[in-house]
Amino acid sequence: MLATSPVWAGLPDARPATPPPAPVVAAAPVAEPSAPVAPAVSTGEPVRVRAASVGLDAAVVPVGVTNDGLMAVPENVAEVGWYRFGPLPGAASGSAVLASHVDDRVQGEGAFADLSRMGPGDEISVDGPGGPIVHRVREVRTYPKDAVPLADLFRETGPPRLVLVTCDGPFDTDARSYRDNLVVYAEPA
Amino acid sequence: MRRLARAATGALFASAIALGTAGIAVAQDTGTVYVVHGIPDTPVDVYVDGERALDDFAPGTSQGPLDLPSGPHQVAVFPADAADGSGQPLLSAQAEVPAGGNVTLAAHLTAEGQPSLTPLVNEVGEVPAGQARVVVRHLAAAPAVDVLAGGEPVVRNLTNPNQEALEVPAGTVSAAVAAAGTTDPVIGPADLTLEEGTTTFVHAVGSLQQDNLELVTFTVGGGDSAPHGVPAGAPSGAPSEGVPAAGWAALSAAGVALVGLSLARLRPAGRR
Repeated sequence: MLATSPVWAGLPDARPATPPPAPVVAAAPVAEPSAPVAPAVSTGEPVRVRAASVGLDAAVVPVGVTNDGLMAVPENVAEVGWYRFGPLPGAASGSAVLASHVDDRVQGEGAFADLSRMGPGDEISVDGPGGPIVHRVREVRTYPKDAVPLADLFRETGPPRLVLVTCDGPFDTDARSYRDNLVVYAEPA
Repeated sequence: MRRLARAATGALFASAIALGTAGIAVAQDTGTVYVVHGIPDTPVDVYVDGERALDDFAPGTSQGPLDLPSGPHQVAVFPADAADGSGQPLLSAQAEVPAGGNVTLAAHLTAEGQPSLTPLVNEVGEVPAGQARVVVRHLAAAPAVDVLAGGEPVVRNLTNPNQEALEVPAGTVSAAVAAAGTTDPVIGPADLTLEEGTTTFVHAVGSLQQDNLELVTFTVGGGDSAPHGVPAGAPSGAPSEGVPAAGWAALSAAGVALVGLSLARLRPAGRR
């Protein structure tokens, strides 16, 4: 693409006689990411999520991804994971995602066991260092796992939104997995 | 530093246009351009199509992103104290900016220490969730190098003016550059913070002989992607007694047969 035709004029020899300074390592990016996570209204990571309508009151921990690229849901079914590579709850834009197991034979009922009983208008409060951020449920939907709109659930731009995800539907004993994902969409109140 | 992807680019000059448009499907009439100044001790002014685009551009820094109309542009590099864009430039080149593409134009030294202008295609597409991309570029007057992460070589035998892309878990990595086959740094080690969904371009510039090697780094965002799924049920691999499966247990014998069929269909999913 560039037919480089350097026409330099004595540049390489124009060096100072004094020793140059020690190598400087400029690790700081000069250009910020073009699509940064929007600044949060809250001042830090969520620590607790509460929804009185379904008796939800659980600790929130930051999570990332598993080695095979799935969201890393906390092994402890009493805990809720916040997807730390996405927006914070209370951020000015984007979709903040919380996920937790529905239940487990060993551990019993999970934090999100009763999420399917949520309905539009229910209140969900996420506590962070800046205080509680209140959301209201707009919609509750169930998707087969191969049809979950993941790109939308985890979108980093667009209107601010809180998304709660757990499992639902029949349990497939061979896949050792529930068939569906239950998704609760909520908006800042 | 786990290497998930490895994209060595050898013939940069020949392949630049094709690669520059490959990753971006949207047709646009502008392209994104970054400029890297890797020639030590020589502040410059950069003229594009006869107009001064960058004034007093300092060595060891980068500029961008600049949106330029797609198509060919005449780029000329003058000493920073030049009155205007006339006369004999230090370097000049015809730069083709691909529509919707993302390129770097680097003023740097060749391996032998001669100033040169090199176009490089910026790979800035999506990375897997939780990952960041690092593109390392050898644009220094120096022989082949290895790039070390945490003291271990992750890129071997990189030569001027080539680049290599890695996808690594997001986080902070201690990066250094050493002569190929060695682990004694000639640059660094320095901590690089690699944010999820970003691409960080790391340019080794300067001259080994002049003892002024350094790194010029910039980061481009927008490569986020979603996880592949949310495995939110039964971490032990079995549900709680009688929870949603309860409805199934109550089914008739015929119903159980149907369940068997359903489960058979589900089997290929293979994971929770």
